[in-house]
Amino acid sequence: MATKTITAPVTSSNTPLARAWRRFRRSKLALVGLIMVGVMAFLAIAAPIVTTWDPLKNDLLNRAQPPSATHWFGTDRTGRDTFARTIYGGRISLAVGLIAVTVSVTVGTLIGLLAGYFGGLIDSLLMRITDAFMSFPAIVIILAAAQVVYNLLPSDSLILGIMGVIGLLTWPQLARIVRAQTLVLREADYVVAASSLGASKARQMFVHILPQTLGPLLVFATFGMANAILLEAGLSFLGQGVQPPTPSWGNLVETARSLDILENLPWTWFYPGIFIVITVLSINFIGDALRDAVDPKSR
Amino acid sequence: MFQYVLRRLAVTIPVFIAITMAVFTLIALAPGDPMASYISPELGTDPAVIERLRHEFGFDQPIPIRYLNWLGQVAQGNLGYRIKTWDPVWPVIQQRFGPTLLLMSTALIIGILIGVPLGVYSALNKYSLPDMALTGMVFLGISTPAFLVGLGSLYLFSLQLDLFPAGGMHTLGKPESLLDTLHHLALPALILSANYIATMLRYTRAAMLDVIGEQYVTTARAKGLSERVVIVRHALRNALIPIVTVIGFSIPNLLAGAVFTETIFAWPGMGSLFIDGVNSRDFPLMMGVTLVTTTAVLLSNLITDVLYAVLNPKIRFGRG
Amino acid sequence: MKEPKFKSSLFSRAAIGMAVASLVLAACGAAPTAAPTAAPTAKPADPTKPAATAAPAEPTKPAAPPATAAPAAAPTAAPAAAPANSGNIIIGGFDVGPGGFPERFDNFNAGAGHYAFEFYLSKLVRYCDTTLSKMCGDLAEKWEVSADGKTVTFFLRDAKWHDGTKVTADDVAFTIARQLDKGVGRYSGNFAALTGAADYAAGKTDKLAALTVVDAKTLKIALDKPNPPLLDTLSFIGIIQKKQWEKVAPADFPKSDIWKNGIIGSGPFIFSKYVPGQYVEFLPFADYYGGKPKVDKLINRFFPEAGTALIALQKGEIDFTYVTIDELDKVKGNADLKVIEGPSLVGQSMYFNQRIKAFDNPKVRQAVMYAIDRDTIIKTLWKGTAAPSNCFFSPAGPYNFKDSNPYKYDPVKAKALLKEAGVDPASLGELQFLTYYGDQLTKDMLAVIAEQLGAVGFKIKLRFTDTPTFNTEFYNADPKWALAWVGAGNGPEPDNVYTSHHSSEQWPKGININPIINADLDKLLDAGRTEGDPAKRTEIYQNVCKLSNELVLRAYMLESTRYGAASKKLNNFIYTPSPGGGRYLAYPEKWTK
Repeated sequence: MATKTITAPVTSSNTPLARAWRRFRRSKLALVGLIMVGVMAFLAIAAPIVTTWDPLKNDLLNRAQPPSATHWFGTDRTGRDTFARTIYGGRISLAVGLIAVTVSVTVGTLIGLLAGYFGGLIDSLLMRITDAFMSFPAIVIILAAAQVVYNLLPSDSLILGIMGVIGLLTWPQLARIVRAQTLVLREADYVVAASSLGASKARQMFVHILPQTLGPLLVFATFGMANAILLEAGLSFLGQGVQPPTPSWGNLVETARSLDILENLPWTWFYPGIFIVITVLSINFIGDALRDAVDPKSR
Repeated sequence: MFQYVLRRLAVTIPVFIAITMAVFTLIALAPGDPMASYISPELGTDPAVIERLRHEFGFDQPIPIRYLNWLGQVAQGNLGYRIKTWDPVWPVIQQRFGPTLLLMSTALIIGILIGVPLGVYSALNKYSLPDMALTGMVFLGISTPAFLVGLGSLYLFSLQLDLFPAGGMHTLGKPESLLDTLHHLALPALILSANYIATMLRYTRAAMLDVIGEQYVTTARAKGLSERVVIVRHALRNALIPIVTVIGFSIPNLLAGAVFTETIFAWPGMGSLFIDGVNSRDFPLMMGVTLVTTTAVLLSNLITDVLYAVLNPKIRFGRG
Repeated sequence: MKEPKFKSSLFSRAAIGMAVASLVLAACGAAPTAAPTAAPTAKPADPTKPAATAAPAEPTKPAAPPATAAPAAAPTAAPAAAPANSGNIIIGGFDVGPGGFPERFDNFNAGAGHYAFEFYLSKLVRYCDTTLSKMCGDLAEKWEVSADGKTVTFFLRDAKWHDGTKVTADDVAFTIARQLDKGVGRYSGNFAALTGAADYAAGKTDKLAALTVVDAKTLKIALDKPNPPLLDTLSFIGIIQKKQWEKVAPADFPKSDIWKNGIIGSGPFIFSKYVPGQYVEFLPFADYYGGKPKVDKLINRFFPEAGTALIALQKGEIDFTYVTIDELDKVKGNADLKVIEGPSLVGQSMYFNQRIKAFDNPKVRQAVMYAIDRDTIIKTLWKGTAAPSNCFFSPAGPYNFKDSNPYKYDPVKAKALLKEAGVDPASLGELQFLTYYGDQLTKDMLAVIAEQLGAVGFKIKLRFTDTPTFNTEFYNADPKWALAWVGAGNGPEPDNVYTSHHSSEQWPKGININPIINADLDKLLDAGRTEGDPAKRTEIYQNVCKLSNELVLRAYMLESTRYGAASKKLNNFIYTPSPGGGRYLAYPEKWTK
């Protein structure tokens, strides 16, 4: 019984990847999500091909136009095409989301695993570092970091620094979640048994424990994606986000802070808002299916 | 376990100092100081006056010295003055505890009461229509920036539908009453709770899904226990660990407040106070708020760690 | 966007229930939602009110409003309900907008404006009306300037402090002397012309030689040379009571708790209660020299987000707030509100960093002016609510040079000028264009300007920051910015131009940051500062304007109109939509509701 459980997560199938893909495909929602994310990524990357409008080109004579055949999403107050701004904005927002989440998931998972698995001094040390990061007021850090980055990097790469900072600020929560799971899992029968059978520590951590934490981890990652995109919008609110006129989903939505735009030019913020929601929702569906696909328990 | 708690508390002091040092340095690195926020760009101010104030308040000193000065004052129980109003920082912060606690705990409680049951329901009906609808709504909610939800709901519920007052905590010019405060509280609290509902729902759902396939749940089922008992006593109990973690890091927010919502609703809480401090680079105020939130983070992390052990006796403390 | 709906369906019933409950229980119909229907005049439903809220300094005079007590007041009034101050209260978001600096009560140092100072502090003099064209007495009944312009004598009227004692020349002298004390205020530079100012400021003497208290109601100020801007400076400074402040060390002035706790002024209202983060409450002063104000209470409510204030105004929760140009149409369409407009007295301009070689050439700066389509920007983005400016001075004011070059949009000419100057804009690399303005209108406008400058070859990178960051970057010995968009308070006193244009005022001594170095300009500015004859003065400053326009010392662009919106229930309400720092003329003693 015990032996079977040990090996179950690893060798229950000869081709685990193929099996996972087969399970993943079963979820229609995930496929839809995959397609939608693909579409978003395509629109962002192929923006110059998809639209002939220049996202930065002002046209004061055609300002504040509602959606039409020429301007699919209408134009904003300086006459820029909202569709062009939305898909070009996707370049920055998707990158913000991806980079920030990659940073925070990598750091958070690693620290959580190490702390939970080893316990003792390592746990104490890592968790106190985590506490410290959790206590940092994000706004202050971003202000300071933006300034430091501003002095070090060319202005176009400013947002890269901000993405990194967003990632570095959000990992502690994940670290605590992964650690909490690890604390339970390292006492689980099959891990203890694997250990007694001589499985290396790294193998126990990454092969036996990590896949079991995938549920919360994926939830965190999908939330993280949404949060990162929104944090960029919040930074715009505080004057620290992507600098206009460069569009991002965040700073496009942020324009709705003006009651005039909120009320009279809904197309300028509604569409980018919808793009954020679709992206986050799709990633979430993918995450769900991925968890099911990798998790051997849910068949 | 008692020993463990003691040890954790002992470690807290150096952690505390490290955090304040780091935050202090970051604030100092951020562009501008309180004097820079004194200057009105539209009028300009005699630079000599600014220079003199800067010198008087010690902003021309090196960062480590400024930090040590600050730390020395704090050790004597003096958090300094909020430079904008020259009020002592501690009473200024104290005044904000009540409103923030009221707002945030209302939101958190609503979030837990609605989010956790919905999460369980969602997990038990995985990929059903209600599950997908809930998921969709949750993400619609959290994918909308807080300030937009805030302004939008003010616009809709306060101005157009006339259901709630336009921000603030009391109706001015009238004596304060509990009902009046609740009326002001309702909208911002509901908006904030959306985020908690989303978080609780998603984490509960994920944790439940992880647990439902476990052997002990199958075993419990095999023993012929009723589904209700299985879900509540066996599955939910174990799923509680990540949920407790999530609640754990919501607790510091009870004191730290919500920056955007408080700002938009003119709610006199810690979030709006802090952002005011940031905007005027009011470092004694920012450090004061940091002290409070750090304490809250450290304490709530300690409490969650202890709760893990209560929820799952298998976890041993201080191994290795 | 479905999430709010979801919430509404789940909670709206509870919420409505709550609202209804509060309506019923609060009785009297004084619940917040009932405000719009409240009677425009006083409706004192509660006889205990005068006693409960009477100001300590309201000795015998029976309060005016209760005299009109309606016999049929509130038929449903529940006796248990707390006294409802439903009547004569004016609540405003007076600190909303670019001129506001909520919760800064230090009148001597306030970096930006405080409309509310006008409520409780009297000045020695103030402008007669919001056109700011003529100075009237406030605490001073009249004043005399000697023939040589070097002595000004002020004669005080009979005025009382909020504690009932008399305002004396001693109090005024004390207030003025404090301006020159180390650590007290930001106006020390403005008083440099006072005789003995330097010695007093340096601490060589503890008596400011310029000030002579002739008697309790007469104060003489001696000047080293004529100083026409003096009256304007005095119109800034709230007179404080010597008795209350003399024990406060000068260096402790900015830190003093008195500013927000028990400050004794002589204005029409008494500073009564400050609730941090929420509001300040003012009560009428019965012994105000101009007569007791006609409202029972004034409340200055704080709004961290301007949009919230506008919603509160439309709901009738407040009677006044600042309005942006975006919001104008909406307010104009509201039958309950009236719009108050006036010049912002802020000239918006683009600074050239003249340390950059190309920008020290007037032709390049002229090219920049020709490259920008100012008229279209004003017509479309500003909806025509701004006026193109030629120089530092307000285009509507007397110092504007009417025959200035309007720099009509002409990109071809711009390119030609650049060629003439031998400057290839592309060779300058990426130019940082810095501003602290964060509103959508400015973001849009600068995006257009950056694009238009791009069309003649400049490569512009916009940078929007908050004010402290801006100040740190802008007031910098080694600035990284090439261009900066700045608003400058430009009126009504023309000498305000001095510290930002005179070559002796280069940063860090003054705020001539570009820097502008021009001997002809210096001569004009020095002459204007001491010229006593108004006609000659006007001519001098018109020449300043002409020079500024020809050489494009700065790319002066426009002066906007600023707006406030007030409930139509307010009468005699006066608002000055002026920049941070004032003048915030309000004459609140005249307000009624």
